[in-house]
Amino acid sequence: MSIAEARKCNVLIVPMVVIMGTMIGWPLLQTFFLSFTDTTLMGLEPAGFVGWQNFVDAFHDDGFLSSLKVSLLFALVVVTSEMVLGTSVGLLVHQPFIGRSLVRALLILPWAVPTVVNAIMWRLIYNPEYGALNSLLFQLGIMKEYTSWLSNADRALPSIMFADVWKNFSLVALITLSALQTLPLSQIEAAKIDGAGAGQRFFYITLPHIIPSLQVALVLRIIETVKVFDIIYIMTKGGPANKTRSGSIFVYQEAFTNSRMGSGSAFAIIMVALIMILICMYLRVLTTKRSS
Amino acid sequence: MKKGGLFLVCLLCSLALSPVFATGSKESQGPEQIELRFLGMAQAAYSEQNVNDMTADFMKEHPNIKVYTEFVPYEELRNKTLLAYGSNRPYDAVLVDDIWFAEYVSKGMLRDITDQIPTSYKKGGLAGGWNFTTKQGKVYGVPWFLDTMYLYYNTTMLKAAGFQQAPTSIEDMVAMGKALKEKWIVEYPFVFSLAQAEALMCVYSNFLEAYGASFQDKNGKYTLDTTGVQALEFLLQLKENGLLNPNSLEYLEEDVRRVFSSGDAAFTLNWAYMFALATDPKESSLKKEDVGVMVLPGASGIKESAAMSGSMGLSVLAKSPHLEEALAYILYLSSKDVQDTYSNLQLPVWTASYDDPKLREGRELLVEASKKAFSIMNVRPSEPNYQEASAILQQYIQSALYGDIPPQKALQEAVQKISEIK
Repeated sequence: MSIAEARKCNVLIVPMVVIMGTMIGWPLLQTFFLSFTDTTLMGLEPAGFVGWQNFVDAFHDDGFLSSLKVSLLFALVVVTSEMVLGTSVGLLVHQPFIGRSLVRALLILPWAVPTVVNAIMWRLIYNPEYGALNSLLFQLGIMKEYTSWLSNADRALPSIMFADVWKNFSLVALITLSALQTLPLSQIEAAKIDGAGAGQRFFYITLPHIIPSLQVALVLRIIETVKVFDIIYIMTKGGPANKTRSGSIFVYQEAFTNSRMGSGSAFAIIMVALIMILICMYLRVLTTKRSS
Repeated sequence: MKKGGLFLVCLLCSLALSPVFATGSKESQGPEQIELRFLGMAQAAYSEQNVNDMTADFMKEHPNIKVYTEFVPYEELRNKTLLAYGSNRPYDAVLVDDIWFAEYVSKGMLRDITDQIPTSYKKGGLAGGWNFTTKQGKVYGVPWFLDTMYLYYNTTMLKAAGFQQAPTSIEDMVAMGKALKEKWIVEYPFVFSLAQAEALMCVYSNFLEAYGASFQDKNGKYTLDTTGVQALEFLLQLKENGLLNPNSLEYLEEDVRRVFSSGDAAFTLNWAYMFALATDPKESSLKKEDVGVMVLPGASGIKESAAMSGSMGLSVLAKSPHLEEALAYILYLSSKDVQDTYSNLQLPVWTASYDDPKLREGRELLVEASKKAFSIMNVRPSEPNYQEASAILQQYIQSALYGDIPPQKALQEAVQKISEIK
């Protein structure tokens, strides 16, 4: 490519850089600057520079720390469940069986449901008076009386986790399925001829083939679950007694309910840093494994 | 070229003349068109349809004013108001809960309308209304509805258990609940809205009143850790004795309304709007004669009755460029004629309305209860940090109700946390 052509290319990239800078870069920068100030929501009083104080306060704030724990627990349980369930279902629907096309079409439905709709739907399912779950468990004889799911401090978070897994495992299943469809059959046949068992074929051929696709799903889901807000906010608003309050809900409350944009921004920056650290750790482990 | 030059001349002429025509057409339209934005609440009391109908009538009377209405759930109303106020497009008029007036006034968000209130409004409105819209002697809004939580009870259930009269005290009410449970008339006689939300604060405030206690002392210092224990222990006892529906801890007002209207509870606390819905065959399995309503009785030897304000007012925001029009709009919404017309779900703020036989017809009990409640009702803390303090209290009160922390310790920790608010 000549220098003139390279210049032309650079000029063509400019609109994209401007748009990305305006839409993503500027708000991020502004949040970063806000985190070092004591800005309030409406900014009626001039904001003061407070240095690292907001960050120091964050690590002494019990509410923030407990909400981070909720986010991390949510991410750990939900992502693990979705990866295991989604991969298993993807492998199953890859096998030939009658009605496979219908099952594959149905598989996309939970993921296609908007999160808000999913949350409202599960809130109704969990309703202690007329919810379908109580009715089902009661009729099957599993439960002797109707119970509260979202107002019980021990059951609320697992109930929300289940609702999230129900919605998102199909994404992992679909990614698995698409990866499996690019796996050459000849490799499996050759392995069979060489006497490899089902387990060996899975661990030495199938799994290595789908892992790169699963990595994408994993990173996406880690980001989504650590910053979880909508499903929890709609189902419990962080209750009962803050037992389901995630880091993002805490940030929202600090910035908007308590009107403290400065410390709210600092909490948000910490959340972003946490997500980045988790992804870096994961990629590092992966790179080490690959090179070994 | 000639044609091109002619076209250019014509274009320039038309551009030059266009303002003249535009001005002419504007003048022919009459007075300047004003656009107002109103933010209201999408739930109880006046429905969205009610408000839109009122607004349509207002616009008929004021053809030069176009009002755009927006409605959000109560939980989002304050945040939306604050966010919009900080932006370049704030609302002109908003609905304000009584607990937010102090905060809004402290932030300079509300227009002082003391001198713009007509005398007829000042004299004709119930005194309780002007109390919460007035801060430091200045009026920042017009009362739109006065409300309080009433005790709703199922008269048929009480009669089945042998009680002919409504309870006269908290202890009386609990004794009735126990009898109803023992006689298998209802599994959980009580249901309250105790979800982690402001609804919990309202219920708790009512019982706080019933035990003669209050959130703060005269100097505004929180004293709940000593004065509020009895009310919290009372709620915990109800739960531990199996008298309180355990789902109460996730219920809001609409949930308890449904439980009561399904005949699954004998007592509940809710706002005035529930009366019409609990006696409406489309919304309730109860008959009109099943539904009793009264002011919450107080604890024996302490208080006769207790009530807490859940009123709301209409205000003009300080940033509104159309003070006169926005004020005209909120005065119209709160006028006696309009309030009397839409009094089905919400009682008017006008004293004279209560003597109107039409208003009383079919809901004599509610009107009597409201007259009594409006004369005794107290308010939740009115201070700029209330929203944050409330969130802290909600968390600790729920923790105590779950049995995680003893009531006294829960309130001590809550008060300690509130004192640390920046």
